[in-house]
Amino acid sequence: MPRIPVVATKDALPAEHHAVWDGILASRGRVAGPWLVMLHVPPVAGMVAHLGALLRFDLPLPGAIREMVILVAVREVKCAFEWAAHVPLARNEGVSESTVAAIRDGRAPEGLTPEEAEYATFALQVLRKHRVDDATFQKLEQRLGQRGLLELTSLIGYYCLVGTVMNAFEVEPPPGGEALPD
Amino acid sequence: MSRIPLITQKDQLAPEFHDHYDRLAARRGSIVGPFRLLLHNPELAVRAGDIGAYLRFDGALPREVAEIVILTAAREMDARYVWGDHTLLGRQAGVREACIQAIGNTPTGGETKGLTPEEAEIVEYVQELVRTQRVSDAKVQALEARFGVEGLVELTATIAYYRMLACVLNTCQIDADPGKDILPNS
Repeated sequence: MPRIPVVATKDALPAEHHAVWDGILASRGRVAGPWLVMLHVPPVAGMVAHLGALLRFDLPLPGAIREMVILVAVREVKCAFEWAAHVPLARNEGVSESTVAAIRDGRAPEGLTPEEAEYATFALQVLRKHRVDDATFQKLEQRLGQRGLLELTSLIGYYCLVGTVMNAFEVEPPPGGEALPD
Repeated sequence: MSRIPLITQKDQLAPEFHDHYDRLAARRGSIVGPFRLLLHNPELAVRAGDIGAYLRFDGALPREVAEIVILTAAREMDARYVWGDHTLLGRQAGVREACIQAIGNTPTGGETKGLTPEEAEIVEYVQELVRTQRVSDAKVQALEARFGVEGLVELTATIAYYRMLACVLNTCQIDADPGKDILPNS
């Protein structure tokens, strides 16, 4: 159970903020996880969801790369909810079981394909070292261009954002799904 | 030096994105730091910028508290640009100079010394969350008692938003603007 009350129904929000609920429901198909706590500040929930929709649904990044990067980011920030939510999405996009296991077990970039490893190395440097070395930066700049590199970095940053909120309030995944090691 | 060219003038963007530029510049006075990068994707820049504008201009948290949160997040993320920007904004919001210096001089993973108990509650909440991805009941309860559930969510969203910005700024090697404070040991 989250450690603060959750905003679990549209009726719990003032009428002026019902559009925020509707927007999240329309783009995600449900209102769950981070939104249940972020909706205590409805404009922020709406704006964060709007940003997330762009990063999840509108980037030219291939789906398998996008979901693999998301798994690396949420593993690094130890966000169990997003891990459980995104492992099935990664599988649907064609991310291999061996890649999922390498990320879950904290071995990545070891155990990934060379292309995956470039992305994972980048994400781990961003989140762990707060700096990216020239070689790692340049490889992805060549692959994605400057705009694509900024989009990728924003995607990593976004899952760090969402993970931060869920970790603070102990938003847990539903039981029975994919789990992160303790 | 930025690793990616900065967008600082409206005419660097196609006319269809000039309203994106105006929207970002309106409340901040100009296009600042992270948005000079993110405007390579104007819609991304606006969607991120709207969150920041709300937290900075429309939030309910006392400004002094928000600035202590931002400064601590900048220290923990080694975000030089954010440090330079928010030492100034922190001072304007009434954050004690000794508090700013204590946060800035915190060693990696170490303790921040010389804070008041009220400052320490805020700083340690941010540190514990960013360092360990978890935060203890006692720290949550202390801030919830002071700021309420909504205030604590806003405070936590502020940490989260600045962590995201730090990812972008750090990756592109954006330093403090000229004349602004330099983050120690970074």
